[in-house]
Amino acid sequence: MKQMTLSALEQIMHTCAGEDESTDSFQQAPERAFADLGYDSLALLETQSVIRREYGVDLSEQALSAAETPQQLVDLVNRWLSAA
Amino acid sequence: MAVGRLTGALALLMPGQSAQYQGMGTGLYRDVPAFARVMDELFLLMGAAGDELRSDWLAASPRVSIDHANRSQPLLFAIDYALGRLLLDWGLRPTVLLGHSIGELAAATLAGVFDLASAVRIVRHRVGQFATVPAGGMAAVAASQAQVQPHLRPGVDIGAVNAPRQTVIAGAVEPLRTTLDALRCAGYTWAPVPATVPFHSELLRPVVVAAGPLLASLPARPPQIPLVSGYTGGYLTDAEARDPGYWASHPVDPVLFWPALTTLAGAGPQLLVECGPGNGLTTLARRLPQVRSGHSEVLALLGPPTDPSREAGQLAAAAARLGASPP
Repeated sequence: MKQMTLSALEQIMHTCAGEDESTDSFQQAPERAFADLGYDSLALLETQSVIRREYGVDLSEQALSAAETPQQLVDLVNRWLSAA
Repeated sequence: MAVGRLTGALALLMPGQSAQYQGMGTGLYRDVPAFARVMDELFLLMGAAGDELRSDWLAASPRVSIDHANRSQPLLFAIDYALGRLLLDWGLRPTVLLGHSIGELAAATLAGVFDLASAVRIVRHRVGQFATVPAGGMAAVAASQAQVQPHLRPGVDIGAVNAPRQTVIAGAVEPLRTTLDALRCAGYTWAPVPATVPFHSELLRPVVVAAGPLLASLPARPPQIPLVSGYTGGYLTDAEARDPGYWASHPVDPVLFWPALTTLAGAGPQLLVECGPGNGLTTLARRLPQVRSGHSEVLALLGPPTDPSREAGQLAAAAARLGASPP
């Protein structure tokens, strides 16, 4: 079964933000708030649409706003994938 | 997360429209007398309009929404400036300033380009003129300027370049709607920016024309603290600082925030401090390679929007990290 990893999420969000350098800050700090990692609500909205497209997971805006860190978002997506 | 003391050259980032939220700064006004003194000085300079602005700002249920330009613009200017003055009073010496939109006027005033009375006249005049602008709006698009440009309908312009893939557009209601529909069809994500005026669109041209004579009549000096211009992306030159046309055209010129931030960050390791409500600019600054790599650091004085009762505590914590001891 397909699952999402922290580095896959970071790759998506890097692309959303238009950054060319890659880092592994999600794995180093999986519980850091998205804002502290440089991602605002627009970046999260775009991440939501990429996740819908690439993983077939349709997160509600409410669910999305409840996920405040990379780990929480990855867990949310993976719970959805496991239940599907 | 590290809570140790931060050092390094101090850069102030002063936010503009979209940073506002109901109650912003009101806790500081109640709990930090030095902040309240500067705010009162500004309200006094605004005359009768200042009294009304102050009471509506402090009201639990304001008559006019904080997103309305005649609330958000003067209050963002005032709070940015008052926080900047507070840092100076604490003995901190910023080495460079960068403001976003109305935040650049606050930065210029802090840098001594305009005296306080002149700056307040500019803000008041501008806000008065907004009433003549057709209703419009703004939206932030998760795409580069080059990606957005082909989808713009007549009457919609680039308002700001906030990040490599964050472009703000502005325009009249109807063409903005069709532009956003086109962007959505093309697969782009966008979100509305809370604004009642299409800032930095051509619709504001009459505001620019009307501000010409006022700006030409006001004394302007070169900045005492270097300023990076959000309109050229480079350091503000003495000639630009003295040019009334430079300041008058801010309402129609796009804000080149990311290019300006890149210029600022290129000056070497520094501490980028958000000097105004919220943490929107520091969130963007966290994407800078210099910040990602740890060579530069960021700090928002007030942090994300919070309950006013917590603002003084937030500011005190920020002061401690800056090694400042508020008197």
